[in-house]
Amino acid sequence: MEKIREAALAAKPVPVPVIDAHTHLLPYRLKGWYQAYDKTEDVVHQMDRLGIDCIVTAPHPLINGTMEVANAAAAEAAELFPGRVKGYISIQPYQGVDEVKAQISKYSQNPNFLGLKFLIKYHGNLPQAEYEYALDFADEMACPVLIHNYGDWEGLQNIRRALEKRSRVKIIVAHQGGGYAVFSRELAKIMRDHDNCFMELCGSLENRYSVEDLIGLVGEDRLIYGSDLINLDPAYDFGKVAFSPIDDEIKRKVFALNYLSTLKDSQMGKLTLVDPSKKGNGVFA
Amino acid sequence: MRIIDIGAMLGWIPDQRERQLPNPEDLLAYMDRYCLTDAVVYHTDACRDSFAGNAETSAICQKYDRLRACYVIDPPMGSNTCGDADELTKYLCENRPVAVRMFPKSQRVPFSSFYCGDILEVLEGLRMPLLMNVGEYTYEEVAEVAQNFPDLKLVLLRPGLNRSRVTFPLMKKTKNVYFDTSVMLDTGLLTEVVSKFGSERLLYSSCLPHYEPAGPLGLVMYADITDADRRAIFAENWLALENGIAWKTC
Repeated sequence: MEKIREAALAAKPVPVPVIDAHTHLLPYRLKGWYQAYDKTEDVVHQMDRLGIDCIVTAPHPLINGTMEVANAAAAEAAELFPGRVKGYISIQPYQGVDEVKAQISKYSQNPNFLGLKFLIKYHGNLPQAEYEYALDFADEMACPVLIHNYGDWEGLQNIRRALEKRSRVKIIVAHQGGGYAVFSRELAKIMRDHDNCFMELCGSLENRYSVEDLIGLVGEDRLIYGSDLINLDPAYDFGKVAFSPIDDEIKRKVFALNYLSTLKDSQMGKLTLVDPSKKGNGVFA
Repeated sequence: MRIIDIGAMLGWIPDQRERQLPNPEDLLAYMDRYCLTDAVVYHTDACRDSFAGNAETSAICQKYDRLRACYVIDPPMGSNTCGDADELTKYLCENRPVAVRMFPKSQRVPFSSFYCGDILEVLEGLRMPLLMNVGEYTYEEVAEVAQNFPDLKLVLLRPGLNRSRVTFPLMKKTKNVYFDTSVMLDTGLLTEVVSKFGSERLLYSSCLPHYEPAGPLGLVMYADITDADRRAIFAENWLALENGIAWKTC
């Protein structure tokens, strides 16, 4: 019953499918961020060591570069590592609505792009024309939108307002709602009102809740594993799931099945579980 | 595998509702859920009254051999705090904790040779590990103290995310600064530190009950290091520090 923890205690890849729903490729070294490795082939090597089969990424030019560069980097990585890397269309409102429309138009038919990624606060608040357009698009497509939120109470309330207007988009709120227990409790309230809202785990170092605590708040079907790789070492939040004293069947949900559920009726790219008995190449397509 | 959590605590946390493990039985039960074998513990009561709280810690650790006593030292040297140098030495020698903690920021005193030198001299003489929470010191203070007290064993708990740029110089230019790995979270940092400097000054901590042990376990288990390095970080490095305490000078 505890094969995942057994593997983790032996420093082996965990023997279940794993999707990392929150990653960034390419270097980012502002504000003290440091990466000992930043090449995509090294990222894939680390994925193999832990047993992460697939990452979904919004590369780092998302932060202060252009959508064009970020999305092209995601497309290229997905081509180079089929089934191992998928992309989010990065949305950067400072480039304006026309460019947002152009990027969505360019990448939404690419099967390697599964949804959208917003970096609110870095890029201003959610109520902006560019985000509104992108959210409406995502609602039409019923695809996931991964939204950063860290320490931003108003950001979380804006997400609630966005959900009140849209029932098809799958909004995945990053950093357990905002990095601290109080945000997780607030997100849990929002999730009770909106079935299309999910909690993503990464960056939980300051959150006093364990994974079993978070499951107690939001249930076992809507907590999603993400690492924030390569900003954060993927082993931390991976360890939070792998070493958690919860049943392996629940860990399977957190590691992959809950994310797959966000794609079920999506009209954007698909992620198909091909062979759950494998690790690495061939698990997902 | 033996896993010693060097940063645990007993007693109540006034501003936390998420997890309270005030009693040793609660702490040990929680440790069992995460495969932690031992813990170095201090008691929150010792932050209010160091003599009474430390006595409580000792009594608990005598009853539960998986728990190891860490004392709180209350600067400056005074009759109601930690006494003078001889009294502090006598106090530690008689009670034999495996480590001490100071909370200089909380106690409103700079962590420096000027303000804390008399206490640090005693701890250095005893080779007594000094545990310090992040936020209780500045990195400038750590560098100054580490250089002026080269035999003081200074252990930084939860040294922060995005601080790789201070970790490397402290590793390179000092021999007596140790790091808890619990939030060594910059990508690949733990692997790189071990590769450049060895694992001897790395220690495992969860900072229970404030935080939980699973993420820090993941960082050590999945670092690209040898099993020998893992064993060292999880237990052996700490035991070496304990064994290095100069009780013979008592």
